[in-house]
Amino acid sequence: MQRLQHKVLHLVAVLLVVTFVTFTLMNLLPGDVALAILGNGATPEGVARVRVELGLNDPLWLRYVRWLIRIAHGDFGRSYISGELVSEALARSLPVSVELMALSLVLSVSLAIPTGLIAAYRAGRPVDRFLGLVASVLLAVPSFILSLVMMFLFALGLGWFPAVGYVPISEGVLANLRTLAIPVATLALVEWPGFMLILRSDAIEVLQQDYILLAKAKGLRDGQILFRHVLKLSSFTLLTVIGWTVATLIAGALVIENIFALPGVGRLIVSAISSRDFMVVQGAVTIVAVGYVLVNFAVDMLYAMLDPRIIR
Amino acid sequence: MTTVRAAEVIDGTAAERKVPDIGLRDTENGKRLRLGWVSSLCLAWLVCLAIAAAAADVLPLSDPTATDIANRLVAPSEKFWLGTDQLGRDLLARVVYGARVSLTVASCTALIGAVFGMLFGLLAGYFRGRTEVVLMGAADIGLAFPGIVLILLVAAYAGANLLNLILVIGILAIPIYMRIARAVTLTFAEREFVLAARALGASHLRIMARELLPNVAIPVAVVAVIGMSRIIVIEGTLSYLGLSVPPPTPSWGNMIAAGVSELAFHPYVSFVPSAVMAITIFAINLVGNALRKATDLREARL
Repeated sequence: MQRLQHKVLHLVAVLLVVTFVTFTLMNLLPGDVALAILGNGATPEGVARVRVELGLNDPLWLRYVRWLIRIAHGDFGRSYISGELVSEALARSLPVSVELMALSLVLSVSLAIPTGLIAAYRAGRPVDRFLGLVASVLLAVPSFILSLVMMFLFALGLGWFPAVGYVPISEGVLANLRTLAIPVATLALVEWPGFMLILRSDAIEVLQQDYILLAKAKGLRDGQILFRHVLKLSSFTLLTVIGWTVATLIAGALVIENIFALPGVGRLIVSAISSRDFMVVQGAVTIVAVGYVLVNFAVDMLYAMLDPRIIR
Repeated sequence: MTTVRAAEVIDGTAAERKVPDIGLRDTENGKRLRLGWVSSLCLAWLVCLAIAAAAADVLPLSDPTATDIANRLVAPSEKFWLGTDQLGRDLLARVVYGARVSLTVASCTALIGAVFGMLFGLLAGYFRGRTEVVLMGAADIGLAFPGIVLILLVAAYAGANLLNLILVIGILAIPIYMRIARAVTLTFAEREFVLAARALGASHLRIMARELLPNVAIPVAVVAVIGMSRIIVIEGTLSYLGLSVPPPTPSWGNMIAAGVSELAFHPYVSFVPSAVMAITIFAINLVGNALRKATDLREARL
């Protein structure tokens, strides 16, 4: 229980630091936000009025607290450029990013389980060496380069899938999946080596346990031993690794959305940065950062729930 | 790991002072560690790349920013070894100059992270108590922070340039090195040679600098080498997104991005810098792993 308290305190501290950094960086911006809103024709009186309206004359901490209360109510302000509510822009782009990340996570784990188990079972043999080689090559290829290779092969070369663009899921699940196929496969391949290698080393350890020998002596087939007995123990490790990869998953999705022109949060952030639409940057970045911290916390909790030794 | 220990001073064996040997000796049986031929090749690639990047101005390369419309999109040939891009710029020259950006960012950030991480980690592990709680608490928060977000924010607000990039990535790397430095310090702080130094009346500063630092520095340096490959990926990603050095300065990331529009018919415009980048990252990973095996980080595992 004490540990749980400690964890929650830590979570609150991290959330405060993360949001504070996001908020302060924006307010350290050279140039006046009021000026940015009013544009070139701003009069000094107009600037002064907007500054009062936005509460820009108040001390930083007060503005931070006020902003925190506002975003807790889902109010992220309006885009300087399109005038659209930032919360609406987020509601539009968040599902795209989540779909991309969820699908690639599922795909990479379902690739990693059989490959990891086979590599462990045949450790040191050609299959294992081959998988290890593929993994180390993939680890050396940044996600944006892998995206280009995949795009070159499957969209431009074979023409199986569209190179860029996005069809929302409301216009048909199949059409939606077709546009997502290359991005999802790319992100899955980026995540796969990590999962596979961890599962492999974990499974090698499990395979040396006595009860595996017993299972063999009982005459269980290899497949049964691997998928029932070994996977059950190793899934625990796999779960924590999935938690760790949230960071790379978010970063990967961010890049891949920009390459394949998927209208997700990553694309929202990058296009807002280039058009200097700081309200959108602030809102989207806050959502990503808070989401990241919360997912990490959830994984930590799940881990503790599964392993009673940690709670105590 | 063989480093100088105060106990040896007492035994009078200090004459056999050995320099910390990274990757040159197999720690278990004292034999010279042989790099495999793949690792040697990787090391050679990195050395060549670093020299080429440093000496790019005096090498017989064409101007990486000079456009030459008559020779646009020339495939790799005798005249242009790696071909030219859509503005007729020589890809070989651009790749070499681009290496400057990647290698500068990678080495500077690794240095910032390693030096400060080592300092704070050493202090935390040596003094324990409140110092440790405060420092490691800060490191925990730093590690929980989504780094990519901070990098994007700095790029957005403070402007995307080399200095900002180096500072923000370097600062984000500090907590990782802190954890390693602290863990290693803890394993060495109670060892005989440290106690001996203390018994001889050495000050805290002297113990940390002379007894602990050499032992902490080796694993931290190894991790710094491996970390450089990740930094190259991060820098490449940012410059691909247009959030690193502004054009026309060539960097691998912005070269790759510039070639995307030609992907269908002139794929080499993107794939040449991509290949160079991937080989470099692969080489750093391999050399780093060889170093890690040679210095054996087992004691420092977290």
